[in-house]
Amino acid sequence: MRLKCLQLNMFLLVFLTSCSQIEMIDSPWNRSIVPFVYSVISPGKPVIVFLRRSGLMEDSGDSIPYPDAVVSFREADSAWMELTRDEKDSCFFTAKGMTVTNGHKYQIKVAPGNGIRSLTAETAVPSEAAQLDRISFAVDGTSASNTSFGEAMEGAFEASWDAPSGNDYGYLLYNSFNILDFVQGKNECTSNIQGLLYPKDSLNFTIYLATTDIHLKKWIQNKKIQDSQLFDSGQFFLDVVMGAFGGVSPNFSNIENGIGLFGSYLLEEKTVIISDNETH
Amino acid sequence: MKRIESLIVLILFLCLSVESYCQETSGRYQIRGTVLEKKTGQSLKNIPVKLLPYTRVVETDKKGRVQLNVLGGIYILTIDYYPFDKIEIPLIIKADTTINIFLTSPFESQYIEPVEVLSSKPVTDNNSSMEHMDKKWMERLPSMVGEKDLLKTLAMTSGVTSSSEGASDIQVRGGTHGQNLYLLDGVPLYSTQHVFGLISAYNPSAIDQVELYKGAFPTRFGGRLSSVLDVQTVDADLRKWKGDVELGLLSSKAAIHIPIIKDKLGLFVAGRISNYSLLSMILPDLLGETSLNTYFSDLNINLIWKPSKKDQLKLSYFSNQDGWDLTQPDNESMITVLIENSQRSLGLNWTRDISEKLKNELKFFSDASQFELAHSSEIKSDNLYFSESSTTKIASTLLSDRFQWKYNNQLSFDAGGSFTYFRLTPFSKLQTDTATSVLRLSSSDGFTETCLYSEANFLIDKNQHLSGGLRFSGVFNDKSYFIVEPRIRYHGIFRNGTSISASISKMSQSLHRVANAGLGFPLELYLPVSSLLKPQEAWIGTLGGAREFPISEGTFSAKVDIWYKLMSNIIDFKEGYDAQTILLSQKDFMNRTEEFVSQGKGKAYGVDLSVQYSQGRTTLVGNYTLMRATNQFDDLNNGKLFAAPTDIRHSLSLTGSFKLSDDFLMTANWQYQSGRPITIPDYVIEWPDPTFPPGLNSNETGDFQFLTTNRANYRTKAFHKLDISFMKNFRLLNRYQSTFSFGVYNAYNRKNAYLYYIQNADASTGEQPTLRMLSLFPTLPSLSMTIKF
Repeated sequence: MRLKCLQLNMFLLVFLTSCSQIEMIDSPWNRSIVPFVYSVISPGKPVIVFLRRSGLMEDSGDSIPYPDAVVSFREADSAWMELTRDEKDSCFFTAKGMTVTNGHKYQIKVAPGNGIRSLTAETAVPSEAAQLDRISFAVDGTSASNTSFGEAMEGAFEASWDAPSGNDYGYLLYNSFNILDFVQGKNECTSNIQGLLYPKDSLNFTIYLATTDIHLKKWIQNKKIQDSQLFDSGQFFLDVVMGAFGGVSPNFSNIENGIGLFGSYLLEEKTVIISDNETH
Repeated sequence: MKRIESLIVLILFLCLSVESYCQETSGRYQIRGTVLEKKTGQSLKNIPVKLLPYTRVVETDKKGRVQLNVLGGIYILTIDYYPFDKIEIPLIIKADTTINIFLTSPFESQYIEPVEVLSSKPVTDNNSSMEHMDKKWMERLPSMVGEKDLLKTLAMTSGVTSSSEGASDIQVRGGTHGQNLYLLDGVPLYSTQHVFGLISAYNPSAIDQVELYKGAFPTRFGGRLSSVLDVQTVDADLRKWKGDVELGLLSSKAAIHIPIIKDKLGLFVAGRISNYSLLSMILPDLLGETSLNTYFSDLNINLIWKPSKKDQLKLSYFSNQDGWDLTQPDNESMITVLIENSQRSLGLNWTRDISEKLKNELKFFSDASQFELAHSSEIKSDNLYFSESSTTKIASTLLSDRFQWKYNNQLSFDAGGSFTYFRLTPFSKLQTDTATSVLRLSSSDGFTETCLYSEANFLIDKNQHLSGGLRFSGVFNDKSYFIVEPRIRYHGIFRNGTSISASISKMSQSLHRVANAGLGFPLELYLPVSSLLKPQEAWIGTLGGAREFPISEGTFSAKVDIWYKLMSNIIDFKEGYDAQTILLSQKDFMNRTEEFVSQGKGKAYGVDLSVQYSQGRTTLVGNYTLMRATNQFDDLNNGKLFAAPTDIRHSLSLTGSFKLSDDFLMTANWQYQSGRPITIPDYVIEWPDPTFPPGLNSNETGDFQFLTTNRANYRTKAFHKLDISFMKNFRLLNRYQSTFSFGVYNAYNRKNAYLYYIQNADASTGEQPTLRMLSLFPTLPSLSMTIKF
């Protein structure tokens, strides 16, 4: 009898140890800390460069990791121009009086100081912006509440554009409230958005189409993947299986001796006027 | 009385020994014997047969057959095996001889089929790049949740690994799962997994013989780069009804032989069906309010018809269904996700002995396989419904003919050809909503592959085999490719018992399989060769040796094989894409394939080592592989070399099989695989307040951004586990031969990785994103019972 009890207990012990486990692994990405540079330029916009370092700022104890850094900017093969730090404790540097032109190449150089090697990067501004050649918007009368901008209405939106041929650009379509679509690698692009939201009392909204260089394109792609990849544990199983990205994220960094992004874009914008289910 | 019989036999033996000596040089002959139980006529397997004066013991096969190759002379065939009466039969061998040996037992109805320790053919018998095993191997090894599994058994052999714990796939010598040709009676299987890879689609009840070619490929095989797994199912018994039933924790199986016309027509049916949702049981903490339902089933049907002594037709049908669905509440709506795999195939095989020297095999098959990923959302209160289903499909049809011609005892030929048509739909989408609007999108392509092959097999000297041949493939789509594949292999056994094997093979693959290489769930897509995607090609070289050493009363054998593989045009997703993004969104994928996938080069090399020691009731087996596999793609990883997903540097499997009594067997297996490479972010950056895109009124105040600068930059945790199983044979109701198996999977509860994922974090609170590992298979008990009738 005792033997039978022992056998039963052994069986239950084995059975009860059967439960799946999640194990947290030390964050392997914090093993090396390197300078990080971010700047996205466009004609008509000021040139701003952001300098910090990888990892969490809290860990370093200082908000400006490179207080003696010198940041320079130039059009390729021209003279370097030094940028000024916006404020004493700021990580932003601005180039005053610099203009950016379509189709031209620009470079930045960052000397972080303290014997750290200088960082360099280059971007070629797209030569031609993709033009929105057709836009349609049909209000369907559906309303929505609790949006990021309050009460909203819905409509079906369609836009198309011809991409400049022979390039590796990306095309980001958005309005003031949401990213609508991101397209790459196509010559003729059409975007259909069912249920596009706009503020209930608006009479119009603006549609933007950004034509990006290859590095900014990869950054958008990376961010898009990341947004879909990250999830909270409330829907764990669904998210891990359905949400997790199973490929390799694009490497958007074009910073030599460091990491980050130096990209460029051209912007096209159109205003959509709403009047009683009509499209303009 | 018995003493007198023995004395007569001995005298006869001594008297004729002189004659035997004289005749020994006269030639070699075959003795073919079948050992049967006298009362029932049932063939008896694994009966030890000794042919005096030789001391070596040969066991009967599963059909009670034994075959011996001897010089002409006089011998005594002896069987002394409890509970049967000892029998000694004098034989004068002057020609090929066939005998039936009947055994009697005083306890005939009480005879219990003995358990068997692991044993295999002598390691010197086969080329060292080939593994041969039968159903018994699987039956005697520990199982997962009571499920014996072919692919998991193969993953214990040297040179073979699996992609993750629980995965029912194999990776052979640095090749990927998609570079293996999985055959079931000559029909390819495109999906080999059931229930997240817990078990494979090969039903062990239907398996008869298995051959895995890791190199030294015969020319009749082609279409994949790394390996060929040739699985033959059980033929229907044409004489008597018999079958077996197996009940396990996870599934129930049944197999039955139905002789329709004695010696002419017979049917074999084997089926398997899942019992219940095991995953729901082992994942309660993760599922919460979610309900998960898993299910699978498969069916093997073989119809054998022997219209004449020279002809045999085999009609084979296989169907396999596997899936799970998950339902979860989300505010007012109910979300359902469904993943389903299925395959169906029908094959007809006609073998004809045209003459004693010429044999023909005509084959036809058609099969279709599909993978579906679907999700739906329903708000019952508002009567709203939306569903979206993405499917990837592959279908193939083959017609082939093969001739085997034995020119003489030294030279034989194997030649043939085949025509295969593949139809692929990597992307197909169906979208429906409440307003009954249906949106259908799909992207398909088809191509044909024609091949001709010829191979000559020379017996250069006694036990010295040299084979050489060519396989010529033509692949036709919007662009045509012609590939010549030379193959040469040598296998020789020398006088001291040492064998040497060497081979060089060229392989090609026109059907591409591309699978996720990053984090998360491993999904896959099949893609056709086209002007955008070239066929994959590989050169594979092997050099190996094997030897058996008698030690004390046992036998120690060792086998080593060195291999080198160079691959070109291998395929992988480009950065930013995976199977899921294509399945869910890329409707014109087929016209823009080059945007999503890339082709590059691969290299793998390593050494496989196998050792085995058998003594009486104990067998110990060890398999070890040391290897390296690297890939290089011009447009991946900045053109730099990176570790292939299959680069598992060390893999080790140690198995011990102990016969505790005649009917009680214990087997233990310890498996180890070093970490495999995966890609995770190299850096996490606290991104500045968004300055791009301008004009977007975002509430974001900055977040984390991941940056991946190198592929294969992280190694997963090493995988290891100990499995123990016990097998007890007995007679159920004093009538039915039965086996009760029980055991423990992962006995010391090692948390092995099933998949890795990144846990979200909030930049504003300073919480960092973390890499996490999901371990799915802890200590699990296993139980199963098999009843034969």
